This record gives sequence, structure tokens and C-alpha cells, in this order.
Amino acid sequence: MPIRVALVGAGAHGHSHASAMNYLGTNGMDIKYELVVDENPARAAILAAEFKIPHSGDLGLLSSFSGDGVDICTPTHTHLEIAEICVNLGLPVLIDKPLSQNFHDADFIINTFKNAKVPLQIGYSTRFDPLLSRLKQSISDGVIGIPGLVTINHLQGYSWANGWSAWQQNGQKSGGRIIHFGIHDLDFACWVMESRPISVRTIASKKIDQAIASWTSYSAQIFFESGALALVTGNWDVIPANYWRKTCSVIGSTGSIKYDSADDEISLSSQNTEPVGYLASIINELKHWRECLVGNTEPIVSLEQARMSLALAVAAQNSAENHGATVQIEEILHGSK
Amino acid sequence: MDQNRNIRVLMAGAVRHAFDYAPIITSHPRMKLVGIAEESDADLWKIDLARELAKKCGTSFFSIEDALSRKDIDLVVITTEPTRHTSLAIQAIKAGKNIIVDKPVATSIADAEKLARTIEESNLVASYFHRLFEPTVERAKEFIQSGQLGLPLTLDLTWISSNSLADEGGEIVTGKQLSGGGEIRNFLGYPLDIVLWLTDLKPVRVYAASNSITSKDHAASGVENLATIVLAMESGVRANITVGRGPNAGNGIFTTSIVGSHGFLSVNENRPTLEIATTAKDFKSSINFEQENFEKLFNLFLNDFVSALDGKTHVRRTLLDGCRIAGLIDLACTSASTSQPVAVNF
Repeated sequence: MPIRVALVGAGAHGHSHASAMNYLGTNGMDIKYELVVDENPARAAILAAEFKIPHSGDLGLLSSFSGDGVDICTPTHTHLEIAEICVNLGLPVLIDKPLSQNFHDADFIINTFKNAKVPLQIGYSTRFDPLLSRLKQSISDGVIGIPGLVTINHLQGYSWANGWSAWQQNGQKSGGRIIHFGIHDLDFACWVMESRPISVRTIASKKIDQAIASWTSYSAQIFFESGALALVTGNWDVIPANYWRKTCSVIGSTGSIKYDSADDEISLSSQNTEPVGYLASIINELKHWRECLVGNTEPIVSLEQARMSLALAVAAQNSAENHGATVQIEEILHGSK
Repeated sequence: MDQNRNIRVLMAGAVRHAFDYAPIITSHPRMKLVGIAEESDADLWKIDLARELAKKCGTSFFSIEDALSRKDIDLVVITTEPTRHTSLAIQAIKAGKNIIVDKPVATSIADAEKLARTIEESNLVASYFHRLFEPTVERAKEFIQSGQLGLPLTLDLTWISSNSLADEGGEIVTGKQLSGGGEIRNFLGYPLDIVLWLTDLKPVRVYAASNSITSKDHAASGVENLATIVLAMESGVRANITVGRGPNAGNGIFTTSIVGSHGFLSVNENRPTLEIATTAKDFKSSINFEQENFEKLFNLFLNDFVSALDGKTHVRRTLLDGCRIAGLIDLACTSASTSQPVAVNF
């Protein structure tokens, strides 16, 4: 019997997941969406028609869903409500990052799932990028010795105030762009350095469209327990609008490794037979979720790591709001915000 | 200066880059290397190096004190260890010599200010070694000046050298008595120069962080091997810089990218390429460059200096620019060592 899961959210991210799931299905993987739910019934119907999945505009329908898990691809501010429905039904969940737009709600969700002993995974898809996961593996294998510095630069095309992705600019709904977008790279920095972040200071700005209610670029300097450093920068002001690029380099005690999405390769090896790019990340993430659901493996993103990455992102955002003041991660982990 | 006359050059000190610079100066069509000098009370090994270089170049060895009093020297090129750059530069300026100072021109803000005051009171031609004649940097500058990129918003620069510490003189880089200490002083000047050259904006605050966990040699000397520097600049522009030394980092990592209000530009010195994307008719292009060799770049720098001595042009970067950069480097060192941002007051 295939693993049967529901997809909640038929927006852009839900569509990416449906495409990835479709790829898995056509490549013999025994996992499929059996239901798509979106509060906008028309949007659910469009996605359902494209991928031939039963659909509904009623979240309540989840209560009669008897599948193996739920994939939550909705805006961040809706995560808590949907996650609560799922945990009460005992349904394992894959939920898009960030878990919540604030640390308090994230902790509540994690503790609720832990107490109910219901599996919860958080979708840090960057970790599943084929090349970046090889970069991480190389570091874990000791190829560059002790990692001392990671730099990550993410460039993305501009958007405008109140446009189609306006909720991502709204701090009440997304946590703000450092938390919404930056968390991928902040999480990746922690993952590759294999050390606990101690503090962060962030300088941020918004330039092209002052009406956007969130930072459009940031520079975060992270200090790790091991003594390692990270410089994580992001810019969502890039023209042309469809621009997307990520670079990453890690300097270690015996070597260095660098990645540039424009090259679609990492410098340690030019062999590349895996699919690359965003869709490949989602495909690998869903494949991994399937393995977790059947008990073959443990989640690559542990709840503690996901919690720490969110704390770092919240700290980075707070630092930006305070003109680059250093924020200790402990303040977030044990604070109220 | 008479454009038909050779420029008579004295090299003061032969501690670090002098052995790379001397053959290029010797073969420059307008320059004549008249001698290598060292302070008479300098450490013996420094005097030995100066004598060795003089012999290698087939030129004379002088004490600096004697050499600066000579009338047949037009230009003094200061190539000692960094901590003596300022004092020798000031001596040369006071002796009425045009000067080129190796980077960094000073290892403290106090020295940078002292040197700046001294050169301001003179009408000499004075500069410092920089890499702003890199073709990729020149094209980037042209692109910004043309307006196609719009206003620069953020700049990201990486300057990671793959040269081994031993090949670069070891203690001359890590020894605080010799270099002022660490890779921030050693490397930051290059990307900083590019940021200031491309934007012409003043930094207002420096946020630096550094470590030495990947290099036992740096750690043993108490200096940094790797550093990140964020510069908050005028007009809300921001520059993110990474510097340091990465073992086996291929040919090093030397990249510059600029997000502008109307386009994006990326320079990779390793390939080397310059990639551009703008709104103008979906303009997107990638320009490939020949890999530059150091000799060619150095000659472009010397030609610029000669042109200024001839009175035809101003040098691309004056010694005052070098003093400003040395001051910023010192602030970055302070910020990194205190883990606090530092305001720029000059």
C-alpha cells in the first residue's frame, strides 16, 4: 500500500510540493497525495485538476482523513491552527519553515507534538538541495578539517508592497523576511558548522520599495560556540525580478569548499548526475519524509535544530530592528518573544 | 617632471614584496632603480635582505639615512614590513621624495593620521600599492558610472587567499611587531579599496568579527586568520566583506557582487568573469577576461604613477586614500577584538 498523505495549501509552495510528489509517483515511489485542502476552494480545485487529487476548501475535512500524514504548505501564521488539528488526529506532519512567526508558538507546536508522540518534521528544503547536501557531507567527512567560517549570500528578485506574496512581507503573518526567507540560510549555516550559535548581529535595510513592511536585505554575523563565524547575507531587492542565486563558501583548517548556484556544481567535484535546483530539493525532502513515515530513518532536521534555527532567525530579526545590536540566542530560547 | 627623463627609484626595505616589485621596476621603460636601502640600525636579517636584493638587481645598497639626502632620487618605494611603513614614508616625504608605500600604509589610526598630515603639507606625488587596475574592477566601475546598474545598494566581496602562510613570510604576516598582526591588516585593504573606489561613499560604522580556529600559526601569534566585516556606509549602502587565508582554496576565492537599484553585477576573479543583469531590455551578459598576471597589473599601476609625475594626470589613489583605508582597517581590528561595532569619525 502506498503512503497516503494530504496536502494543505494550494499556493505556490503547495504547487511545488505537488509537482515534486508527482515526480516521485512517476518514478516508482510509493507515496502520494490523496487530498488537497485550501481555504480558497478555487485554488484547491485548480491544483487538484492539474495533479488529479481529490480536493476541498474545508479544513474540517481533515478530521475524516485516514491517511498517513499531512504536508502543511500554508502561510506561516496559519501553521499553529492546522498543526493542532493534525496532532489531535494523531497525523504525522511535515510543515514548511518557519514553524511559526514567533518563538513562543513554535515551542508550543513542538511540545504539543512531543507530548502526543506524533512525528513532526520542519521543511528546511535547502538542506535537501543535492549539491548543498554534498557540501555538508564533505564537511562532515572531514574533507576540509575544522570549519572556521561559512559565508552564504542569497540574491533574489525584487517584489513590491502588497503584491501577490504580500503576506511574506507582513511581520504578523510571516515573522518578516529575515525569518521567512533568511531562516533557510541561517539554518544551513548552523547545520554545516555543526556548532551551536551563541549570538548574532544583523544590519538590514530596505531600498527599492520603501512601502514594503519588511527588510529587503540583511547581513548577519553569527558567532558559534566552536569559535567559528558565519556571514549570512540576503537580498530580495535584486533586479531583474526573476533573479535567483545562492553562493556559499566554507573555509576549514585543511581545505575550503565553495558553491555557486550559477555553476550548479561545487568545487570539490564536477560530477553531477542528480537533479539540481529548488524542485530537486523538494523531491528529496518528500522522499526523506516518506522514509521517516515508514520508520526507515530519523528526520535530517531534528526538532531541536529547527527550534535553534528559528531562535537564530528571530534573534537576527531582533538585532536588525535594533540597528545591529548583538543578540544572544539564549535570550530568545528563554525569553518570551 | 621632464617626460624624457628616467625616474630614479630607491627601494626602502626588502622585507616582503620587494623581491616581486624590483624586477618590474627595473624593467619599466621610465624607471631606473638606483638602489636598495635599509635603516642602519635595522635588524641584521633586514639589512641582509636589502643587500641580497641590491645584488640581485645589480644595484647599490645604501643606508636609508644616506639615501634620502641624495639629490639623484625622485621616488622612494617603501617595501619594509608594515609597522615601519609610516615612519619611513614620513622621512621620505620630509626629504622631498615622491613616494609609493606598500600596503597597508599604516598599522594604527594614529600613524595613519600622522602620515596624512605630513603628506597634506607637501605637494609630492604619493600613492600606495592597490589592485584597482584589475580589468574586471575597471569594467565594474564603468558600468556603475554609466548608470546602468543604478545606485549601488549592497556589495558582497570575498577575498580568501590560498597562498600558504610560509610562502608569504610567516611571521611577517602574523607577527604583531612586523605586520601589526593578522589577515585583516594583511588583506582587508584590497576589498575595502574596491568598495570605496566603486561607490565613492564613506563608511560610517564597522562591524567586524574574526577567529583563528583554522590556523595554529595564527592562533599561536594571537592574530586572526579569518574575518567578516560589515560596513554600514553613507546613504544606507552596505558592504559585506570576508577576508582570510584558506588552505587549498584552489586559486583562492576572489569575488565581488553588487546589487544596484537597476541591476546586478557579479565579478569572479578566479575565472575571471563579470556578469551583469539589468532591467534594460532584459539585458544580461557575461564578459570573460584573460587571467591577468601580476606584472601587467603592476605596470599599469606604475604607468599611472609616472603619468602623475609627468603632470598629465592625478594618481588613481593618493596616499591620503591609503591613510583612510589604513584607518578603517584599524577600526575593523578594534571591532573584531572587542566584538563591538565601531563608528568611523574620519
